[in-house]
Amino acid sequence: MPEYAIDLKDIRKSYGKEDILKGITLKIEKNQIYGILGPNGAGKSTLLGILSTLLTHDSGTVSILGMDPNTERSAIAKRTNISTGATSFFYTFTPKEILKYYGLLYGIRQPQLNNKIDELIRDLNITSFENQKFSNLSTGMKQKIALAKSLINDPELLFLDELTIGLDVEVAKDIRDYIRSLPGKKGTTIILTSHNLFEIEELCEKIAIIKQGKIIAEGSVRDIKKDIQFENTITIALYDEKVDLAFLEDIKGIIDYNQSGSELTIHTKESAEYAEQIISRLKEKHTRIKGLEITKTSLEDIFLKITKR
Amino acid sequence: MLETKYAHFYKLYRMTIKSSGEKAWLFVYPLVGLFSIGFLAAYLKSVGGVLSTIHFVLIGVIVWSFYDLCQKAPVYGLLFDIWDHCLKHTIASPATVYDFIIGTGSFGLVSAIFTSIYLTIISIIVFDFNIYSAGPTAIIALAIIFIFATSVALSINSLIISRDKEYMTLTWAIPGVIMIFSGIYYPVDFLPGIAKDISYILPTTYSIIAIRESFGFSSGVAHPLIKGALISLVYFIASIKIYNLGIRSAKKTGTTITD
Repeated sequence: MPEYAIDLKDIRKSYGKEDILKGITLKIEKNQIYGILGPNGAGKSTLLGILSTLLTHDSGTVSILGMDPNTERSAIAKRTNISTGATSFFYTFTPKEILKYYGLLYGIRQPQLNNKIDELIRDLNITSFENQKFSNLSTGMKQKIALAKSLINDPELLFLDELTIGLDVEVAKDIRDYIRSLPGKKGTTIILTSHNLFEIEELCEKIAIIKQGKIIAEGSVRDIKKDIQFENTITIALYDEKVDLAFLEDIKGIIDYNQSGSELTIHTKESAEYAEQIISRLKEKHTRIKGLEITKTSLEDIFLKITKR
Repeated sequence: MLETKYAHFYKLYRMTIKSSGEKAWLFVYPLVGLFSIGFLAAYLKSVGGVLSTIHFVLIGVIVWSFYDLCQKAPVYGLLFDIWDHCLKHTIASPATVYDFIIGTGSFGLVSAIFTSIYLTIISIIVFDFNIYSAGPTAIIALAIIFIFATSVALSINSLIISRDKEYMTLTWAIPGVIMIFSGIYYPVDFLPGIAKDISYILPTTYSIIAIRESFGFSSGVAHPLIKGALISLVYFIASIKIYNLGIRSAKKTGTTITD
């Protein structure tokens, strides 16, 4: 039997008359990185708010690390933590002071607290900035402080909301590498939301896609690709914009296609086999081909396809 | 856990150390009050008033500085989180409402005691007046004021967190209103009609009356300390309930994730 960090049954939440979550049922196994995706306004932040005990839900049952947030909020908070993108802390505090404040809030005693602060400052390369005011730090450094703060209590369950937003490539990679190491090193379960789908695909074993307060797809990226039946994209650049593409309907295995100007985009189950057929049919019609590109379908393609349904 | 309580104290302490604006609350504003009102009373005495007028108003000034700092700490404990956009991190932590009240309340009490002591030293030197010569009466009266000020702070916090941040204005407005009704610079009997009735539901009124009685200013109010203590306890219990309701409402309406 797998152990679940999160077990949600039919969670509903509304603000006034506006329904934000419309029956979310979700189980997230321990010791993995799990991604939550969705367009703006889908309900991601509200869901994360409920999971991190920042919000209460209207109905349904929530179990976090086997506990009920309505009755065991403090015990849950002790074993979880949260970090958000474009985060802010006390402007005049130094990173050390920020970490000390939150360490105390999480009930960590001395000397363990000072040891933990030193460890995080060292591991996340904050050492040379540890005594600078938070307001004087770069965006990347601020995000590292946010991550350090979220690890101050060695959480079993960590919520990361858009953690690498607005960061340069190098710092974002540093942070991703650190996050990736956590489940193996510390046994941490991580729930990640991000607009960076590359990041989600790279880090997460499983994902849930939320749209209008409902989960519309859930599982591994590979399973979802299979479910929506397209795994590859063939892009063909043509010289002529006026091409009769009706023949594509006859080729089994083509899931959909569209033409934009002289560019033809085709989604298929297998790429090479169909590309060959398509090109030979185009040649039969004396259509001249400018270029051809075959790409494996990315999470972005899936996300766009699913959320536009 | 002591740590979770100390966290709130630590935050306010570091903020005060680092900010000249915060230090002004401890050192500048109380002194301005002491000197401006003290010298006004001294002037009135010089043109025919009595010495006791100076003592009467200095009790008000020192007690009021005490109230102000006790009320400010729990409100600023919340406002610093709001101003620096990190409220959600405090709310998501395991610290409870009681940790917050004890941590910020302790800071308010320590800063208020510190300020009242140095104001007393200055008032002894400049005006030959020592409020603490009232002995235990002064200590109990100030304790009542601490409990009441904390209650007011928690009620303001409840509005800020559950309704709108605009309610933070009450932090600075309410002490002025309470000051009018508590007889800081005049006996409450001097107030007209309903204003006098309002003054008798405020623990601050009883605390000030009790201290003034120790200095020979009679009020006709029986057992002011007992009345003040009982009323302040009722307010305190109600304010904890109100603050808890405010947080619950914020978690329901989503204001906890929109800092």
